[in-house]
Amino acid sequence: MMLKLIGSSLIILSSLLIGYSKTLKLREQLRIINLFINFFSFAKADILTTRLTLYEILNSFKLKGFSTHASILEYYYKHIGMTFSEVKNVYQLDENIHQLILNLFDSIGYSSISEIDRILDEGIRELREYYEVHREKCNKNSKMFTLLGFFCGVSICILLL
Amino acid sequence: MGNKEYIFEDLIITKDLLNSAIRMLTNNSLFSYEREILQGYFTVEGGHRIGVAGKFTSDGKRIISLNYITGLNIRVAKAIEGIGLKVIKYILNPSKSIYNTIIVSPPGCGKTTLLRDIVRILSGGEIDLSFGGFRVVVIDERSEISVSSKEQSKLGVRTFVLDGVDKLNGVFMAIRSLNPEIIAMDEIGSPQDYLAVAEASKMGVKIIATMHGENLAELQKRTYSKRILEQKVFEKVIFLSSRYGPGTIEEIITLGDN
Repeated sequence: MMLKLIGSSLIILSSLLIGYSKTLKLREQLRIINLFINFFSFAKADILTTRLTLYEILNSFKLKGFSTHASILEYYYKHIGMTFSEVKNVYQLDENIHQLILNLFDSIGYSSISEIDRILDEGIRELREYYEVHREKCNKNSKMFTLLGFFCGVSICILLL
Repeated sequence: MGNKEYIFEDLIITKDLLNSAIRMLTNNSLFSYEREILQGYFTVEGGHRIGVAGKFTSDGKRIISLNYITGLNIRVAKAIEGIGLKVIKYILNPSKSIYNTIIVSPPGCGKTTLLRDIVRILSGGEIDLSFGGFRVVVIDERSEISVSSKEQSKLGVRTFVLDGVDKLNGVFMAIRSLNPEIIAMDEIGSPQDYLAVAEASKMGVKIIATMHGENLAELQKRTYSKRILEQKVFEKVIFLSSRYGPGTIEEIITLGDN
């Protein structure tokens, strides 16, 4: 009986963890979108006030305490000038977001300051919209995954017992 | 290099090639060179100047945009240590100071290279010529004389660099706060630049500058350079050519003697 109880607890726990890991992935996406919102807002202010290059802005952004996800920024920075099909979506962002970020980096790299001002305003607005959509999705899904994990675990236990 | 010319006939310069060259040269940040590009050139790290040819749009008073690029001219900057020693004795005056000096030559004859080395020598001092060094302020409007902190240290221990500052503002900034004995500036050409030279000369500092031209007669044909010569701001003129390679010293004139 004891073994059965331990086994069923483990099944419930593991299915809960599967649900939790799915939620974590969504949260990671949210964090990445937030990082880009922060970065592009920071870059916009820096471009309008100083004439630092994008690479210098990137480095200064890292120094301001955003170094955790710097590799993602660097990845997109390195692919400026490449077409959408040439850049792999290694961070598994939504295709729309991936394309938007590539376009934003590309536009910054090859536009005048007045154009960048408008492009970034629009880009940041779109990213915020994606953020809101993803946040709702994340909240909804995290509850769903937790419940699903729990009930899956319980069902498996009932079936086994 | 030098006077040699190579033509790569098989190389086809496409729009994409030019665009990717621009991307690389501007470090994917065209905006940070926008102001310079609208003047027809920009300077990249190392002091290398990139001339831009293409379709510009003007609002009647000034150039407001560059529509497309059709060509790039890359001038590689060089620091040649020791080149200034050839002329330094002519610049120094007996009263432990220097003569206001202008280096004149057509483009590509080594004016900036010579100026850079003269600054280094004047700042560091030269035992053989028994002077201990001057406080020099370099007004480096186009970031060509010194562009990085590493390069700045090569300009001598007593040198301050005002990078990216226009000459007129630079003169006032230097005099107010950097206590210069000598102000060095590259390529004076606009009326504002001449005003900067004239103002600096009235404030007790010595000036070394460069200017485009071939000979004294040519300088006297141009309104502002003629005016500055008539005001007797400059005491020495060094003429360079590329007859025996860039940096060939053609003539050193003491104004007032002629």
